Amino acid sequence: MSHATKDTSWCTIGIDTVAGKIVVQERWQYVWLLQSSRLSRWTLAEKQSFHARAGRAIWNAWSNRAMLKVDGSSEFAKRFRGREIPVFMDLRWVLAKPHWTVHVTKANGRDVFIKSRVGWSARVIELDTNDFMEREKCFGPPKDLCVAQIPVAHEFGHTMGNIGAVHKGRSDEYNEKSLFAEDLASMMNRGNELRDRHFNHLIHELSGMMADTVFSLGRLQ
Amino acid sequence: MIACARVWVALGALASCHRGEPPVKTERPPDVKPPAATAKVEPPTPERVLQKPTPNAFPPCPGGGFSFELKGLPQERVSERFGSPAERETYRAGDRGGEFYVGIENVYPSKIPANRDVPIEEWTWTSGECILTVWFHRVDGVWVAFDDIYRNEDVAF
Repeated sequence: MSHATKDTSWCTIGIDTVAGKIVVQERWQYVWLLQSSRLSRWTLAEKQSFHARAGRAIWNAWSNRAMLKVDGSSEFAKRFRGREIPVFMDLRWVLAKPHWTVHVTKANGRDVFIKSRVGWSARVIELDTNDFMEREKCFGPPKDLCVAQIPVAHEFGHTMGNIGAVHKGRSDEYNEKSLFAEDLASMMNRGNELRDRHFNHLIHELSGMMADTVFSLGRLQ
Repeated sequence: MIACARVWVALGALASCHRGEPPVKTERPPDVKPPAATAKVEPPTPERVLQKPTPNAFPPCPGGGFSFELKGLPQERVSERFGSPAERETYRAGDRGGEFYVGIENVYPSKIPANRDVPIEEWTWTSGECILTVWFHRVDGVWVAFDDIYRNEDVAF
Protein backbone atom coordinates (compact mmCIF):
# COMPACT_ATOMS: atom_id res chain seq x y z
CA MET A 1 0.00 0.00 0.00
CA SER A 2 1.39 3.35 -1.01
CA HIS A 3 0.72 6.28 1.27
CA ALA A 4 1.08 10.01 1.43
CA THR A 5 0.91 11.18 5.01
CA LYS A 6 0.78 14.49 6.80
CA ASP A 7 0.96 14.99 10.54
CA THR A 8 -0.81 18.20 11.48
CA SER A 9 -1.27 19.63 14.95
CA TRP A 10 -4.76 18.18 15.13
CA CYS A 11 -4.62 14.92 13.18
CA THR A 12 -2.62 12.67 10.89
CA ILE A 13 -3.93 12.41 7.37
CA GLY A 14 -3.12 9.39 5.27
CA ILE A 15 -3.90 9.08 1.58
CA ASP A 16 -3.90 5.53 0.28
CA THR A 17 -2.84 6.16 -3.27
CA VAL A 18 -3.54 2.60 -4.38
CA ALA A 19 -7.00 1.99 -2.92
CA GLY A 20 -7.99 5.63 -3.24
CA LYS A 21 -9.11 6.43 0.26
CA ILE A 22 -8.24 8.89 3.00
CA VAL A 23 -7.86 8.16 6.70
CA VAL A 24 -7.92 10.94 9.28
CA GLN A 25 -6.53 9.76 12.59
CA GLU A 26 -6.56 11.75 15.81
CA ARG A 27 -4.28 10.65 18.65
CA TRP A 28 -6.15 11.01 21.94
CA GLN A 29 -4.46 10.96 25.32
CA TYR A 30 -7.01 10.59 28.10
CA VAL A 31 -7.28 12.11 31.54
CA TRP A 32 -9.90 10.22 33.54
CA LEU A 33 -12.02 12.30 35.94
CA LEU A 34 -14.96 11.81 38.31
CA GLN A 35 -17.88 14.21 38.63
CA SER A 36 -18.06 13.47 42.36
CA SER A 37 -16.00 11.58 44.90
CA ARG A 38 -18.92 9.20 45.46
CA LEU A 39 -18.20 7.56 42.13
CA SER A 40 -15.92 4.57 41.79
CA ARG A 41 -12.54 5.08 40.15
CA TRP A 42 -12.23 4.32 36.48
CA THR A 43 -11.40 0.70 35.76
CA LEU A 44 -9.36 -0.33 32.75
CA ALA A 45 -12.45 -1.99 31.29
CA GLU A 46 -14.41 1.24 31.63
CA LYS A 47 -11.65 3.21 29.97
CA GLN A 48 -11.45 0.73 27.11
CA SER A 49 -15.22 0.81 26.77
CA PHE A 50 -15.24 4.60 26.60
CA HIS A 51 -12.58 4.67 23.90
CA ALA A 52 -14.35 1.99 21.88
CA ARG A 53 -17.70 3.76 22.14
CA ALA A 54 -16.19 7.12 21.21
CA GLY A 55 -14.52 5.55 18.20
CA ARG A 56 -17.75 3.86 17.10
CA ALA A 57 -19.88 6.97 17.53
CA ILE A 58 -17.44 9.07 15.54
CA TRP A 59 -17.00 6.40 12.90
CA ASN A 60 -20.77 6.11 12.46
CA ALA A 61 -21.26 9.84 12.27
CA TRP A 62 -18.28 10.90 10.17
CA SER A 63 -16.69 7.96 8.34
CA ASN A 64 -17.45 7.03 4.77
CA ARG A 65 -19.80 10.01 4.50
CA ALA A 66 -17.70 12.47 2.53
CA MET A 67 -16.77 11.40 -0.98
CA LEU A 68 -13.97 13.52 -2.34
CA LYS A 69 -13.07 14.28 -5.92
CA VAL A 70 -9.56 14.69 -7.20
CA ASP A 71 -8.22 16.71 -10.08
CA GLY A 72 -4.78 17.61 -11.35
CA SER A 73 -1.93 16.22 -13.40
CA SER A 74 -0.39 13.82 -10.86
CA GLU A 75 -0.48 10.07 -11.46
CA PHE A 76 -2.84 9.74 -8.51
CA ALA A 77 -5.17 12.42 -9.84
CA LYS A 78 -5.25 10.87 -13.28
CA ARG A 79 -5.96 7.41 -11.89
CA PHE A 80 -8.78 8.53 -9.59
CA ARG A 81 -10.34 11.29 -11.67
CA GLY A 82 -14.08 10.70 -11.80
CA ARG A 83 -13.96 8.24 -8.92
CA GLU A 84 -15.06 8.79 -5.37
CA ILE A 85 -12.47 8.89 -2.63
CA PRO A 86 -14.03 8.13 0.76
CA VAL A 87 -12.80 9.66 4.01
CA PHE A 88 -12.58 7.56 7.18
CA MET A 89 -12.10 8.82 10.72
CA ASP A 90 -10.10 6.99 13.34
CA LEU A 91 -9.15 7.54 16.98
CA ARG A 92 -5.94 6.20 18.42
CA TRP A 93 -5.51 5.96 22.19
CA VAL A 94 -1.98 7.07 23.05
CA LEU A 95 -0.04 7.59 26.26
CA ALA A 96 2.23 10.29 24.85
CA LYS A 97 2.47 12.76 21.98
CA PRO A 98 -1.26 13.26 21.47
CA HIS A 99 -2.96 15.56 19.05
CA TRP A 100 -5.62 16.04 21.71
CA THR A 101 -5.71 15.74 25.47
CA VAL A 102 -9.15 14.36 26.28
CA HIS A 103 -10.60 14.90 29.75
CA VAL A 104 -13.35 12.36 30.33
CA THR A 105 -15.63 12.81 33.33
CA LYS A 106 -17.57 9.89 34.73
CA ALA A 107 -20.99 11.49 35.20
CA ASN A 108 -23.15 11.12 38.30
CA GLY A 109 -26.07 9.70 36.42
CA ARG A 110 -27.42 9.03 32.98
CA ASP A 111 -29.62 12.13 32.95
CA VAL A 112 -26.91 14.61 33.97
CA PHE A 113 -25.41 16.60 31.13
CA ILE A 114 -21.99 18.20 31.46
CA LYS A 115 -20.92 20.88 29.00
CA SER A 116 -18.71 19.06 26.53
CA ARG A 117 -16.33 21.30 24.65
CA VAL A 118 -13.18 21.72 22.63
CA GLY A 119 -10.35 24.17 23.26
CA TRP A 120 -8.60 24.60 19.96
CA SER A 121 -5.34 26.28 20.91
CA ALA A 122 -4.86 24.10 23.98
CA ARG A 123 -5.88 21.00 21.96
CA VAL A 124 -8.16 19.91 24.77
CA ILE A 125 -11.45 18.03 24.53
CA GLU A 126 -13.82 17.82 27.50
CA LEU A 127 -16.19 14.84 27.34
CA ASP A 128 -18.29 12.79 29.74
CA THR A 129 -19.77 9.33 29.93
CA ASN A 130 -23.17 10.49 28.68
CA ASP A 131 -21.83 11.86 25.44
CA PHE A 132 -22.78 8.76 23.46
CA MET A 133 -26.45 9.06 24.25
CA GLU A 134 -28.66 11.00 21.92
CA ARG A 135 -29.47 14.33 23.49
CA GLU A 136 -32.80 15.78 22.50
CA LYS A 137 -33.83 19.42 22.48
CA CYS A 138 -37.46 20.32 21.93
CA PHE A 139 -38.88 23.61 20.73
CA GLY A 140 -42.25 25.22 20.30
CA PRO A 141 -44.84 26.51 20.18
CA PRO A 142 -45.92 27.27 17.58
CA LYS A 143 -44.62 24.00 16.15
CA ASP A 144 -43.55 21.22 18.45
CA LEU A 145 -40.16 20.12 17.18
CA CYS A 146 -37.44 17.97 18.73
CA VAL A 147 -33.88 17.64 17.40
CA ALA A 148 -31.41 15.02 18.63
CA GLN A 149 -27.64 14.94 18.67
CA ILE A 150 -24.85 12.65 19.84
CA PRO A 151 -22.51 15.05 21.65
CA VAL A 152 -19.23 13.20 21.03
CA ALA A 153 -19.86 13.39 17.28
CA HIS A 154 -20.57 17.12 17.53
CA GLU A 155 -17.39 17.76 19.53
CA PHE A 156 -15.35 15.72 17.07
CA GLY A 157 -16.63 18.12 14.44
CA HIS A 158 -14.96 20.98 16.31
CA THR A 159 -11.67 19.07 16.29
CA MET A 160 -12.04 18.84 12.50
CA GLY A 161 -11.63 22.59 12.33
CA ASN A 162 -15.27 23.59 12.63
CA ILE A 163 -14.44 26.14 15.25
CA GLY A 164 -14.11 29.91 15.37
CA ALA A 165 -10.39 29.75 16.10
CA VAL A 166 -9.87 28.20 12.65
CA HIS A 167 -12.65 29.72 10.60
CA LYS A 168 -14.36 32.75 12.04
CA GLY A 169 -18.09 32.15 12.03
CA ARG A 170 -17.67 28.38 11.70
CA SER A 171 -18.13 27.40 15.29
CA ASP A 172 -21.30 26.38 17.05
CA GLU A 173 -23.99 26.85 14.49
CA TYR A 174 -26.70 27.05 17.15
CA ASN A 175 -25.29 30.42 18.13
CA GLU A 176 -27.89 33.00 17.13
CA LYS A 177 -25.22 34.97 15.27
CA SER A 178 -24.23 31.98 13.14
CA LEU A 179 -25.04 32.04 9.44
CA PHE A 180 -26.36 28.51 9.92
CA ALA A 181 -28.45 29.06 13.04
CA GLU A 182 -31.60 27.96 11.20
CA ASP A 183 -30.06 24.70 10.04
CA LEU A 184 -31.10 22.85 13.19
CA ALA A 185 -30.40 19.37 11.81
CA SER A 186 -26.75 20.16 11.11
CA MET A 187 -24.10 18.28 13.11
CA MET A 188 -22.48 21.52 14.21
CA ASN A 189 -25.87 22.93 15.19
CA ARG A 190 -28.20 20.69 17.23
CA GLY A 191 -28.58 17.71 14.93
CA ASN A 192 -26.64 14.81 13.50
CA GLU A 193 -26.43 15.63 9.80
CA LEU A 194 -23.18 16.51 8.06
CA ARG A 195 -22.89 19.39 5.65
CA ASP A 196 -20.34 20.11 2.92
CA ARG A 197 -18.90 22.99 4.95
CA HIS A 198 -17.92 20.62 7.77
CA PHE A 199 -15.12 19.22 5.60
CA ASN A 200 -13.64 22.54 4.50
CA HIS A 201 -10.71 22.44 6.90
CA LEU A 202 -9.82 18.86 6.02
CA ILE A 203 -9.81 19.73 2.34
CA HIS A 204 -7.63 22.72 3.14
CA GLU A 205 -5.17 20.39 4.87
CA LEU A 206 -5.26 17.93 1.96
CA SER A 207 -4.29 20.60 -0.49
CA GLY A 208 -0.57 20.60 -0.92
CA MET A 209 -0.10 17.07 0.38
CA MET A 210 0.54 15.78 -3.11
CA ALA A 211 1.98 17.79 -5.95
CA ASP A 212 -0.38 18.62 -8.84
CA THR A 213 -3.32 17.15 -6.95
CA VAL A 214 -6.42 19.10 -5.99
CA PHE A 215 -9.09 17.68 -3.70
CA SER A 216 -12.67 18.86 -3.42
CA LEU A 217 -15.86 17.53 -1.93
CA GLY A 218 -17.88 15.46 -4.36
CA ARG A 219 -20.88 14.54 -2.29
CA LEU A 220 -22.05 13.52 1.16
CA GLN A 221 -23.85 10.28 1.78
CA MET B 1 -6.95 50.83 23.94
CA ILE B 2 -7.99 54.23 22.65
CA ALA B 3 -11.33 53.94 24.37
CA CYS B 4 -9.57 52.94 27.57
CA ALA B 5 -7.23 55.91 27.30
CA ARG B 6 -10.18 58.23 26.90
CA VAL B 7 -11.79 56.83 30.00
CA TRP B 8 -8.58 57.49 31.88
CA VAL B 9 -8.48 61.07 30.69
CA ALA B 10 -12.10 61.65 31.57
CA LEU B 11 -12.11 60.04 34.93
CA GLY B 12 -8.58 60.51 36.06
CA ALA B 13 -7.63 57.95 38.60
CA LEU B 14 -11.23 56.93 39.23
CA ALA B 15 -11.50 54.45 36.45
CA SER B 16 -9.48 51.35 35.87
CA CYS B 17 -8.87 50.15 32.36
CA HIS B 18 -9.39 46.38 32.51
CA ARG B 19 -10.66 44.96 29.27
CA GLY B 20 -13.39 43.34 31.27
CA GLU B 21 -14.48 46.58 32.86
CA PRO B 22 -18.24 46.45 33.17
CA PRO B 23 -19.80 49.22 31.10
CA VAL B 24 -23.31 49.16 32.54
CA LYS B 25 -24.82 50.31 35.77
CA THR B 26 -26.03 47.95 38.42
CA GLU B 27 -29.11 48.51 40.47
CA ARG B 28 -27.09 48.51 43.65
CA PRO B 29 -24.01 50.66 44.02
CA PRO B 30 -20.89 49.09 45.42
CA ASP B 31 -19.80 49.73 48.93
CA VAL B 32 -17.75 52.89 48.86
CA LYS B 33 -15.62 53.78 51.85
CA PRO B 34 -16.40 57.23 53.23
CA PRO B 35 -13.68 59.68 52.37
CA ALA B 36 -11.31 60.80 55.07
CA ALA B 37 -12.11 64.20 56.52
CA THR B 38 -9.13 65.78 54.85
CA ALA B 39 -9.65 64.14 51.52
CA LYS B 40 -11.16 66.02 48.65
CA VAL B 41 -14.71 64.84 48.17
CA GLU B 42 -15.43 64.23 44.54
CA PRO B 43 -18.94 64.42 43.18
CA PRO B 44 -20.51 61.09 42.30
CA THR B 45 -20.39 60.23 38.64
CA PRO B 46 -22.24 57.53 36.77
CA GLU B 47 -19.02 55.57 36.58
CA ARG B 48 -18.85 55.56 40.37
CA VAL B 49 -21.80 53.19 40.62
CA LEU B 50 -20.34 50.61 38.29
CA GLN B 51 -19.81 47.34 40.04
CA LYS B 52 -16.13 46.49 39.81
CA PRO B 53 -14.79 42.96 39.99
CA THR B 54 -12.91 41.85 43.05
CA PRO B 55 -9.16 41.50 42.54
CA ASN B 56 -8.20 38.36 40.62
CA ALA B 57 -11.85 37.63 39.86
CA PHE B 58 -10.82 36.53 36.39
CA PRO B 59 -7.87 34.13 36.57
CA PRO B 60 -6.10 32.74 33.49
CA CYS B 61 -8.28 30.49 31.38
CA PRO B 62 -6.11 27.92 29.61
CA GLY B 63 -7.46 24.61 28.34
CA GLY B 64 -11.12 23.79 28.06
CA GLY B 65 -12.39 26.00 30.85
CA PHE B 66 -14.14 25.30 34.12
CA SER B 67 -17.06 26.28 36.32
CA PHE B 68 -16.74 28.67 39.23
CA GLU B 69 -19.53 26.65 40.89
CA LEU B 70 -21.72 29.70 41.35
CA LYS B 71 -24.91 27.65 41.60
CA GLY B 72 -27.26 29.12 44.20
CA LEU B 73 -25.73 32.60 44.32
CA PRO B 74 -28.10 35.54 43.82
CA GLN B 75 -27.25 38.12 41.17
CA GLU B 76 -26.07 40.65 43.72
CA ARG B 77 -23.42 38.29 45.02
CA VAL B 78 -22.27 37.44 41.53
CA SER B 79 -22.03 41.15 40.67
CA GLU B 80 -20.03 41.81 43.81
CA ARG B 81 -17.50 39.20 42.76
CA PHE B 82 -17.23 39.82 39.03
CA GLY B 83 -18.52 43.35 38.61
CA SER B 84 -21.30 44.27 36.25
CA PRO B 85 -21.56 42.02 33.21
CA ALA B 86 -20.71 43.26 29.75
CA GLU B 87 -23.84 41.63 28.35
CA ARG B 88 -27.19 40.64 29.77
CA GLU B 89 -29.73 38.61 27.87
CA THR B 90 -33.16 37.37 28.81
CA TYR B 91 -34.88 34.58 26.92
CA ARG B 92 -37.20 31.62 27.31
CA ALA B 93 -35.53 28.32 28.21
CA GLY B 94 -37.01 26.80 25.06
CA ASP B 95 -35.42 29.40 22.82
CA ARG B 96 -31.88 28.11 23.19
CA GLY B 97 -30.37 24.73 22.48
CA GLY B 98 -26.98 23.16 21.88
CA GLU B 99 -24.18 21.97 24.12
CA PHE B 100 -23.46 25.46 25.49
CA TYR B 101 -26.97 25.59 26.93
CA VAL B 102 -27.05 22.08 28.32
CA GLY B 103 -27.23 23.43 31.88
CA ILE B 104 -30.67 24.80 31.03
CA GLU B 105 -31.71 21.40 29.74
CA ASN B 106 -30.56 19.81 33.00
CA VAL B 107 -32.85 22.04 35.05
CA TYR B 108 -35.68 22.54 32.57
CA PRO B 109 -35.91 19.50 30.26
CA SER B 110 -37.43 20.77 27.06
CA LYS B 111 -39.44 17.60 26.56
CA ILE B 112 -41.84 19.12 29.09
CA PRO B 113 -43.50 21.94 27.12
CA ALA B 114 -44.13 24.13 30.19
CA ASN B 115 -40.39 24.30 30.84
CA ARG B 116 -39.79 26.06 27.54
CA ASP B 117 -41.48 29.23 28.82
CA VAL B 118 -39.30 29.60 31.90
CA PRO B 119 -37.43 32.94 31.78
CA ILE B 120 -33.64 32.70 31.89
CA GLU B 121 -31.11 35.49 32.35
CA GLU B 122 -27.68 35.05 30.86
CA TRP B 123 -24.84 37.33 31.92
CA THR B 124 -21.48 37.48 30.20
CA TRP B 125 -18.18 39.01 31.21
CA THR B 126 -15.08 39.28 29.05
CA SER B 127 -11.62 39.72 30.52
CA GLY B 128 -8.89 39.65 27.91
CA GLU B 129 -9.26 36.32 26.12
CA CYS B 130 -11.35 34.84 28.93
CA ILE B 131 -15.14 34.72 28.96
CA LEU B 132 -17.48 34.00 31.85
CA THR B 133 -21.12 33.15 31.29
CA VAL B 134 -23.58 32.71 34.15
CA TRP B 135 -27.18 31.57 33.82
CA PHE B 136 -29.85 32.65 36.31
CA HIS B 137 -33.41 31.60 36.98
CA ARG B 138 -35.96 33.12 39.31
CA VAL B 139 -36.51 31.26 42.57
CA ASP B 140 -39.02 32.71 45.04
CA GLY B 141 -38.73 36.07 43.34
CA VAL B 142 -34.93 36.14 43.41
CA TRP B 143 -32.67 35.66 40.39
CA VAL B 144 -30.26 32.88 41.33
CA ALA B 145 -27.37 31.35 39.39
CA PHE B 146 -27.85 27.75 38.32
CA ASP B 147 -24.96 27.25 35.90
CA ASP B 148 -21.75 28.94 34.80
CA ILE B 149 -18.75 28.36 32.56
CA TYR B 150 -15.43 30.19 32.39
CA ARG B 151 -13.28 29.55 29.36
CA ASN B 152 -10.92 30.87 26.72
CA GLU B 153 -12.52 32.61 23.76
CA ASP B 154 -11.36 29.82 21.42
CA VAL B 155 -13.40 27.14 23.21
CA ALA B 156 -16.42 25.77 21.37
CA PHE B 157 -19.18 23.67 22.87
